[in-house]
Amino acid sequence: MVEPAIRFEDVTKRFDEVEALRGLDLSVAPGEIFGFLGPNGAGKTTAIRIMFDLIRPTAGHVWVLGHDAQRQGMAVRRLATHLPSDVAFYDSMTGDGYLDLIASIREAGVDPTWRSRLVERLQLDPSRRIGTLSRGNRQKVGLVAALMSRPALVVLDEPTSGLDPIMQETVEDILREVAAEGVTVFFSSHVLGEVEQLCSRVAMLRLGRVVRVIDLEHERLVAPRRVEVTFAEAPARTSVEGVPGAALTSLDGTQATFETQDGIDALVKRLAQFTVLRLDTHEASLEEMFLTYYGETEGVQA
Amino acid sequence: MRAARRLPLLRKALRDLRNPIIGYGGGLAALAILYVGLFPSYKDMLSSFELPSEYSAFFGDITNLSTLSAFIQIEFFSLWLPLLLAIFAIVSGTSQLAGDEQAGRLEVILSQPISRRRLFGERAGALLAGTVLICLACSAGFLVAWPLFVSGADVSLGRALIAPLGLVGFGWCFVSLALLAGALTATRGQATAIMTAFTAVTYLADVLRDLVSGLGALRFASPFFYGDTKRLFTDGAVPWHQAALFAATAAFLWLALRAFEAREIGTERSPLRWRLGRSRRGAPSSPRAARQPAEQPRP
Repeated sequence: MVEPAIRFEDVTKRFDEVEALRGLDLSVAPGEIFGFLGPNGAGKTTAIRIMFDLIRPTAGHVWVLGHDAQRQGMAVRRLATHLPSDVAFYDSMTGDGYLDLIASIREAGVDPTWRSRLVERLQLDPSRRIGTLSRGNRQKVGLVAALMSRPALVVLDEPTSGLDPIMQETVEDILREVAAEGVTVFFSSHVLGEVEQLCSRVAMLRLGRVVRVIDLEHERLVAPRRVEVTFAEAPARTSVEGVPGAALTSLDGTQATFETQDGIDALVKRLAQFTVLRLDTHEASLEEMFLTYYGETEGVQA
Repeated sequence: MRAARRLPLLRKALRDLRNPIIGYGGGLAALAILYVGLFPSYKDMLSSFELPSEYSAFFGDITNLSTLSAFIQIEFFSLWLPLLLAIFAIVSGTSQLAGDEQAGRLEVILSQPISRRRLFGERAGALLAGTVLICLACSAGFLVAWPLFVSGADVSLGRALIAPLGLVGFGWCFVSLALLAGALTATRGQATAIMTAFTAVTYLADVLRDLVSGLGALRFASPFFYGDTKRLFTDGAVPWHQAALFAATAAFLWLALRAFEAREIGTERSPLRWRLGRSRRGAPSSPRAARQPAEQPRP
């Protein structure tokens, strides 16, 4: 059996009277791009900090790449890197100076060619002082620092914030490439579309617990699809109702909406009796699933 | 070269301290030159000046202000040098750990394969080295001033060069206390406030000890007393006072390291609030399921 890259075992973290994590259980397989979602205060940052022994759990254990995150923190940090959200730098340093500092702390493992390629692909000018860089360019410095040592696990907290859409795509491509080489990517983002495109699985965190882990590949196959149909003439309700495996959810004049999981064939055959002007199908988006679990009143934030 | 690569945080901390070291060291060296240069102009006037006994109690057992040693002791060693060294230690000592944590930079550094002990050691080392450099700058000031302004003084150049180094232990004591305050309090602001209050109280306890009854015992808690700031230039340092300062520095550094190792990075919380031993052993807790978590500490 393959050892998970990350394993949280019944982890609780209490700050005085506040329980930030309440029996968190989570397992991330090696080489997967794993999404980590939750509203503000759900415990995402706390969980990530525990992985790097920045804070300690009140109860439970965290294993990262086979090492106890608290007792073998150095071993974890040799193999894993972390890009916090709103990463802070030494503003008086240049990008190169900062990357050199991180490289010298990591001592071994930084591949200069790979570092140069990352700098080039992210279109970063590392000779400039960090204090003079825009938010997006500062984020690029943090991304290069997190990726340049070719870690076995990279933990990214909102890595594309501040980046323009083209650069976001470049970052997504880089993350797909490193994941294809076997690197585990633990990815927290509030851009749900990005998480949906990039991640194979997603954990939804709420009130310090994982409320659901979604296998996005599987979900795309089995999740109910919404089918919206525009008829040339308004059909009678009885003529479009009762399709096996496809439920009529609304009928308003010439507009009908069905929800189906395995009844698409029967639905198409029934629709063939009518003149159909337009037919659209929608798979359930991550955002819809997210809102189902958190309710629309809660902020959609990672 | 290899050794230098192994101490990246020490080199980084020294680079960060470069401007404060130049500022404090250069300023104190300039003051040393100024006072030595001014003394010949004041000498005659001071010879007829009778020092009130209260004044003597405040600045040291000095009866004759018309000597260079008494003048430099009062103007430089009793006031400027110890106070500016303490300010350097407070400002720089609280910024190295508490300031970096508050800015969010420590989270990134401690996510690298580096132990807290090593980070603490390299940064404390840079602060201790910075203190020595500032004291050496004062000696350099005397070295410049002596051939220019001094002839037939009651004190040798050798003593003038050595005397500032007598405050290294005093400066180190403040550095270690500032690191301890930074590791124990929630924010850099709190650490600075505590250290500023401590400096003011212990300075006054030392200088007023002969004037105010009841302060006599308090002087033993004052680094100014062990730094011999009232007599360092005229009489030299007391060896056991120096030993006490170095011992206190070692003890405060050890305590600061323990507090820093127990600290929860990025939460801006004092480790004194953390229940020692509980989390590392992963003792079972009994989460109160009914309680809804409020906002967690600053992410």
